[in-house]
Amino acid sequence: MSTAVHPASQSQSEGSGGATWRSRVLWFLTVITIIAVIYGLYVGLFVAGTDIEQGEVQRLFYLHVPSFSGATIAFVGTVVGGIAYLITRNNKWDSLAVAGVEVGLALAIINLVTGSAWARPIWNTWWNWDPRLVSDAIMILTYAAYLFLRNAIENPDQRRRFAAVYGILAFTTVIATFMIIRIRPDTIHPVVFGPVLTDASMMATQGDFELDATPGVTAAVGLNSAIWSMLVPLVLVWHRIRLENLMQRVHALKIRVLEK
Amino acid sequence: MRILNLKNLIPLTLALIFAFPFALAAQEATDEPTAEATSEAAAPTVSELSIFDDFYNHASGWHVRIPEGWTDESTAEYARFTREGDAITVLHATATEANAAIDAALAVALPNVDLGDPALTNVVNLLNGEWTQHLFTNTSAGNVAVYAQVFENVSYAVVSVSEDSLPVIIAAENTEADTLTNTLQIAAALYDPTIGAQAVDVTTLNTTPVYTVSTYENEAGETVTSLSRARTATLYVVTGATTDVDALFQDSVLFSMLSDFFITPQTAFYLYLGVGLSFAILLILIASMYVRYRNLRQDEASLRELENE
Repeated sequence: MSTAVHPASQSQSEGSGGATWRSRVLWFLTVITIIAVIYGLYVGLFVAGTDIEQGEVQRLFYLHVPSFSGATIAFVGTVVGGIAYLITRNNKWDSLAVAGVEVGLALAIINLVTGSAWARPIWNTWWNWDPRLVSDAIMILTYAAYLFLRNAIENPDQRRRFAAVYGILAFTTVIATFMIIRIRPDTIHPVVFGPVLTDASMMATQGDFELDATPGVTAAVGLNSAIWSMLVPLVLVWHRIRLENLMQRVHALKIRVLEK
Repeated sequence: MRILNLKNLIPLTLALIFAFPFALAAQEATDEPTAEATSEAAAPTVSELSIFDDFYNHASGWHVRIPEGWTDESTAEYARFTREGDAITVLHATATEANAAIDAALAVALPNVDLGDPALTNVVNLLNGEWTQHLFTNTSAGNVAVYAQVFENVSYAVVSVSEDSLPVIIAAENTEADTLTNTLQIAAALYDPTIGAQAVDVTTLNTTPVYTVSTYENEAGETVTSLSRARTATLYVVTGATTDVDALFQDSVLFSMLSDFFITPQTAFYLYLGVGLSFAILLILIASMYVRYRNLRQDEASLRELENE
């Protein structure tokens, strides 16, 4: 594994074989991801059957759940980056952390927006103060605050330390969002996967559907989950890390020029 | 072996991971939906919309439960279930008004039969909306109950034809016991106007939901039995010249069929909205990253020039 590399010296290794190889892999993954997203959309919109109780809007499930999975993966990257930064003080881990937040935030907003679009015809409202929705909103606001607060700290070392700790603690909102529909009996958010309260009669969910009631649903969910949980966050975070590396290079170059 | 070096291994692994859901999707997409036909004579056409094994699913998006113990004689155009001379037909029509829908439904279910004027016409409120009820009693075709609902300019009708019983949905003025009893007697009298004003016997069954069996005696001394259930102030009543409560239960499936009837909602707009917004957010993120990248590249180029001066 490579040792810590100062961002300023990364430009010197730009022409090296290792960076070129990684670029090729990234661009290969990017093309694959674009094709996969389009194919996943095709399967979700045209191959999977129409749910007879909810109509076409049920297909948003193929974006809604996978985007939350992708956001979770990205936020896990933030936690990993935060912990590793606190241990090693290597800036590359901070790059991973901030990349995870940006990408995770976008995917979390997609999750919220698709949920809202689904809820309008099914629950007859764009929004209600359901525990799951509130938890999701808190999660998004928490990570949005990460970006704002990060930019407000001028000292780069202080900024990275604060961001690392904040990013680790913020993950509790992700756990809470995931768990809340399984422990609150009053949530109307459907539980399609996983366990719930043992007393099913306590669950007030609306909009449930059986995965095997409509042909193609399981395949569409599996495919889109794989794409949006693995490929999409991986590729976006990777691109974002490269952007962060470029930012640090430019910053170091600026300092050198100013000191000249 | 050159093929197993790291450069090739990662793309291969990703390709395998990626291929698995494709294979899964392809298999699911080609699986034929399973539909159990309860009659070999005319199996119902299961629409592409879904596979609810105990529902008739019409291709246009309406769905009605197949009653247990009845023979399924449905076609692609309408649902039809028969049992011992009784028949329930469900269909839709382009009529946008309930009475016109009822006429269209009767033309299909009972062609060339003159039923005369209905003995009762009312509007009943069920959980799935308002239904217009027309009851024709003691006709040449038997007792005919027709229910029609109009939704988004399409009408849906349920026609029940029974030789020996009459289903009635009727709203009482309030939920007081006396009022319900009087309303029940009115409903039963639609079947046989000669029954007494008071029931001879009333038994509450230990069922969920709670059913009541009311026994009347008509002018000829024959027993007329009503099986009824109250949902707030609405009574669901099946009356027949019989003491066989089980037979009345069989005839009461009409009510659960009406309640379980549903139409797949048209929600495509919200799908497009959700997908559009999702990709807009994704594009905003990508565009933001690209713009920042481009600006940084320009800054880098300028700074290098300055550094080299």
